[in-house]
Amino acid sequence: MLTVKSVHTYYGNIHALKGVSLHVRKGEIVTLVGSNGAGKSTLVNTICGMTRLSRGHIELNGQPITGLAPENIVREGIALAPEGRQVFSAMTVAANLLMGGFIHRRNPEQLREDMDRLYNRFPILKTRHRQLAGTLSGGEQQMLAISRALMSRPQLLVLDEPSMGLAPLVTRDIFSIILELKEEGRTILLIEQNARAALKIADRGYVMETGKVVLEGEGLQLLEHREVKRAYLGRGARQIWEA
Amino acid sequence: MPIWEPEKEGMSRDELRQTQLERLQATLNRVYKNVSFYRRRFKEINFRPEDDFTEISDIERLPFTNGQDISESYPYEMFAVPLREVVRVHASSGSSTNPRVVGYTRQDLRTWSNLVARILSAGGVVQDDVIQITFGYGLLTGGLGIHYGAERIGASVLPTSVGHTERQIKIMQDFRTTVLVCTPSYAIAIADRMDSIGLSAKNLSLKYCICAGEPWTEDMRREIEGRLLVKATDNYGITEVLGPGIAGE
Repeated sequence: MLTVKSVHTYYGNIHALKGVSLHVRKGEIVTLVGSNGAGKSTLVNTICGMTRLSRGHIELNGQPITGLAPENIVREGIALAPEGRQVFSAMTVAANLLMGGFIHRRNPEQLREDMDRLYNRFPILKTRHRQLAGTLSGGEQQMLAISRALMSRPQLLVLDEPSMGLAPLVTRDIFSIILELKEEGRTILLIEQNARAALKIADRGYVMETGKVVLEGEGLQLLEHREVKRAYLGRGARQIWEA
Repeated sequence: MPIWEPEKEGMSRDELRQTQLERLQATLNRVYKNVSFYRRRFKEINFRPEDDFTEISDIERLPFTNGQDISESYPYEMFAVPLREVVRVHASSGSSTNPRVVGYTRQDLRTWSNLVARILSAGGVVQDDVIQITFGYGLLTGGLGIHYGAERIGASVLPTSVGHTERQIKIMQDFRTTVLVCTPSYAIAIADRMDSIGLSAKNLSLKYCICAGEPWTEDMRREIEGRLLVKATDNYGITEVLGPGIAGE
């Protein structure tokens, strides 16, 4: 579905992405892991059109999307739940969802149906639908960010660091939600610093270091890989929320 | 014949080329970082993986790694991981030079056994087979390579190793071997010995002969198939690229 070929991105003189290639097949969860500064969010921003690449190609279902503006990337079928949630704090939950469905604004019936479906999936959002998004807890904001992305009916859902800043139990819930989305047939590109949690649920993964991919493979294989263990998981580390 | 990994073995050409590109890029990034031989060699030709390997055809820009390079890196200089992560070491025989040494991590062994399982499946081997391996069990890759792939499929493995031809024949009879793994010339030697002791292939349970380890002719294949009453397939592997499992009929 998504093909990224030898992409280079610069921030000024800083060479942030150095020849990165990856692909995501329909129905997969593919995860991108790596420490701070590895280039994961830069790659996401490049795919979503928010950062311009200097070399390389990106295609969605065989059609080039290199250089498209972010709103057109959304129209093509890629939606992002960004790092740090970035919900519209001064808008209600309902308004945030409607903003997510902006490209379908001429079809209010569809928007209503989609909102109802998301309220069924996340009843807490229905309870709080008139509340300002900025007053939600971290976990609730993450559910809202994911729901907002789903409102555009994307082919590919990109989740950038969904566990960032969340308590261990909430993180477990979020990863359960991601797995449920996969079981529904969603295609997901998951960016995570929490490598253990991400690799446990991913079909495949890519490990980034200093702007390059240094390892790729099946999620559970990478979980056992010494180089990933050493660099990102800590020797013998278990997360608090893994009971 | 069942396909061992249908999703991977049947992937589209486009996805195959993309996967090859990604894996080669990741490998080049890793060896540039971890293997001084490759870092030196790439610098000599002014090649930087992140800039100069952007599509599969760029493989033409890479220098060959030849047997001498690996011999001169004896024993561990080519390894891209610390020795503590290497769980198996194999080596070629090395007559006049140092043997070519290859190290395998746990994941490498899993990958290798899957690749061998693929070619054994393609050659007809299934879980119900009794597979007799007449390659040497030692530092050479043939014996253990086929062994782990056969176990991966779930076949019953007879690790008889090399030689003792009459014993091999007795085991084939008594243990009802269905798959014989050997060099083509050894298959013919077995057929010759069976003739000399008056044993017909009709008294054996053989179905397939997985041949490897030397080049052979179509005449040899027909002879093996006719005398042992088997379907004989050709298989290829070299120590420097894991061992058996690189290609098979």
